[in-house]
Amino acid sequence: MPDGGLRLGSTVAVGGAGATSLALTLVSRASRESWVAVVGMPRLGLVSASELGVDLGHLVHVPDPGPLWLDTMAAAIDAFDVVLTPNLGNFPTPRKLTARVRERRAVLIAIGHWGGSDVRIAGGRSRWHGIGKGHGYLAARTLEITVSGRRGASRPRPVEVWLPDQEGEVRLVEEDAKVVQMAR
Amino acid sequence: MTRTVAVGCPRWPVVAAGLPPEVPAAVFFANRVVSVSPEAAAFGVRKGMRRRDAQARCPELEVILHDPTRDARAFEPIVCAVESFSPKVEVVRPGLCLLPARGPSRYFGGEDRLREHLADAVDEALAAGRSHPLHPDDRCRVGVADGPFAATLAATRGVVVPPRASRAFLASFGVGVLDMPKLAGLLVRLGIRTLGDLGALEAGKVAARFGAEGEHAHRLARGEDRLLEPRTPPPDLAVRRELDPPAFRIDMAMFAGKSAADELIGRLGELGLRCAKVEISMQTEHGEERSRTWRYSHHTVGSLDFTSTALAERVRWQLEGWLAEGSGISGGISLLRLSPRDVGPAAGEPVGLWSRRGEVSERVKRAVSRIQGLLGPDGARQATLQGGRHPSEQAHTVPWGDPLDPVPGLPGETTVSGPVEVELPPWPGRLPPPSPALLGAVPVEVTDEHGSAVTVSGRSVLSAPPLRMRTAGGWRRVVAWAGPWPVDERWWTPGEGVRMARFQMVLDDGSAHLLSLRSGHWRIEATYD
Repeated sequence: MPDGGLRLGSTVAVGGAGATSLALTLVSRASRESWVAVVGMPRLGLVSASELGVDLGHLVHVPDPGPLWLDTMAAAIDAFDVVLTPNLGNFPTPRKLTARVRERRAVLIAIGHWGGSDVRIAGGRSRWHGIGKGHGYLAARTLEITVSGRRGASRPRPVEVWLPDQEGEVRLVEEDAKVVQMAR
Repeated sequence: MTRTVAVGCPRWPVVAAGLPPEVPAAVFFANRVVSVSPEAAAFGVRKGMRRRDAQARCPELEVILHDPTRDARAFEPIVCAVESFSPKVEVVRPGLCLLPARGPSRYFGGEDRLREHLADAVDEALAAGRSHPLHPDDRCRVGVADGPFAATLAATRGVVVPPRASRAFLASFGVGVLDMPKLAGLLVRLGIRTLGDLGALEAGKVAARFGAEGEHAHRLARGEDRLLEPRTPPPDLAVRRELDPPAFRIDMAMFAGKSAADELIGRLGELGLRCAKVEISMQTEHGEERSRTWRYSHHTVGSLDFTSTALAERVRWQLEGWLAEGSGISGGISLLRLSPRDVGPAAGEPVGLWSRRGEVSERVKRAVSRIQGLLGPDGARQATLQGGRHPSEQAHTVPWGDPLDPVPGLPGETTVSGPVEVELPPWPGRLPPPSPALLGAVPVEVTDEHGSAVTVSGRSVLSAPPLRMRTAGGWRRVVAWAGPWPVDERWWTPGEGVRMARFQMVLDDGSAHLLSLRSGHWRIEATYD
């Protein structure tokens, strides 16, 4: 992350390949001490969330708020430290929500586009390891991500991460990251 | 010692189901018989029997699932009929209520007369709510005796036990009627089969050998069914909930009901008090008022008292009764009040010192309440992990505030919270991590190099390597794949059996999916996003 972590009052938009896993990874550390709300993601794989380090005991899942998404989001932002939601698209750019996040010093992680977000994370090329043509299984993945944003990260920096690696951990592919940067 | 009238309806769960009397029926909970109709009993179906054994004895047995709410709803008119005799009715459970005998027996000219009048009135109420005639054995039973415990047993025989004669009356009952299965089992093994045997023992020795529970049982057996020292509770103990907007639906009202029950039990716990009776009252938006007292048990001594779950259950039953059709309520519930009665000092250990929910901040609680208010109680959920093969089976969610079930697939009754540190037992056929981040089934087509659909034979042999997949976004090349992993689940239940083969596939855009092939149909079951 550009600021070394989630900054209170900020909005992060996560998009591209692996967006769900990326968002869950961002939430995971916060979930150990703070409360996380997931709003409007009925298809979220909770097992995957747990594997990526999210504490399910600190997670409130609101699978399908329907037309009350905006009200639900407002209520969640008021109380929760981290709120994860997809941009459902059929609502006008919720600038009010972004302002509310800033005011309440919460963190909003949006999957998909979010107007006025402070940080944007985009997943790029992803490669799966451990699986061949008819043998093995999906064991690990490397994902190229680009972080851009208003403050510290005005210049987009592509890095490659293991999401997850063979041990289920999320970490940078340091060597690869250097190569990618030099190639640019 | 208060003279108490008990009005009991035998086999209430069966009666409440409202089947014709000639149909053999039994009510089941957790695969065991909890209540049997007389017709089914004639076939030899008994309480506690497994469903399979019961059906073996009586193949045409009507299987009814246990539904306490239905029982409570059906019992409400009966309570109303009893209430016309005395306003001090206490409901113990659907099918049993108690009232003091003193006032009404004087009015009707004796306890025997009161018993007859009550039985007639209740039978009339029973018949009124039914489309079929009542089985003669299912008619209500009324008994009068000293204290609730003896009265309840007197009701099973439909007799009036004279004052101070409870001990002799109780002596012939087996220890099973104490409703303490563990203690009763031990007593029977020691040769103490009846309440008379137990009562003949010396009180001090019983207490030394069997502890507080034994002492309690001993006192009941001697007919010393004392009331809790009644103490008027300080007025601020009552919990009120105003509902705005008024609740028309039971789940909306219960949302307030549950939090009120939690608060009341919490307050009592903080003060080191307990209560054996709670008055539940409500007011509708049109000013109609209803109130009813629920007693935790027909024992009045010992450490039996309400827990918040038990109280919330009573509140739900009562609200179901009030909101049921034909109860004369015209509007939504706007006010709900729970007032403790018979408050006494708590016995035993306080529970919930380190309750898991204790860590939930008030802020979060309020927000979740608000969200549940918007979307209904199912709207906000909490999750735990459990055993299973498919990623969607491995996580289990319940409405926020409900107890998390003991994790199926874990031995014993472990309740797991948060990230599961407990090692889940192996589920053969479970895919190794990572798990897919997005679930949801999408039908797709998978073809081989000749463009024909890829199939799997009964012996899990693939017809040809998959090469291309068609999704909503068009055709994609399959760059890597693994499988088939056959899954053959629930073949023992007809209609629930699942036979399928699972695959993992990586497409040329870098996306990876979990697929299933089931009777020739390919589906993306989940996506590794």
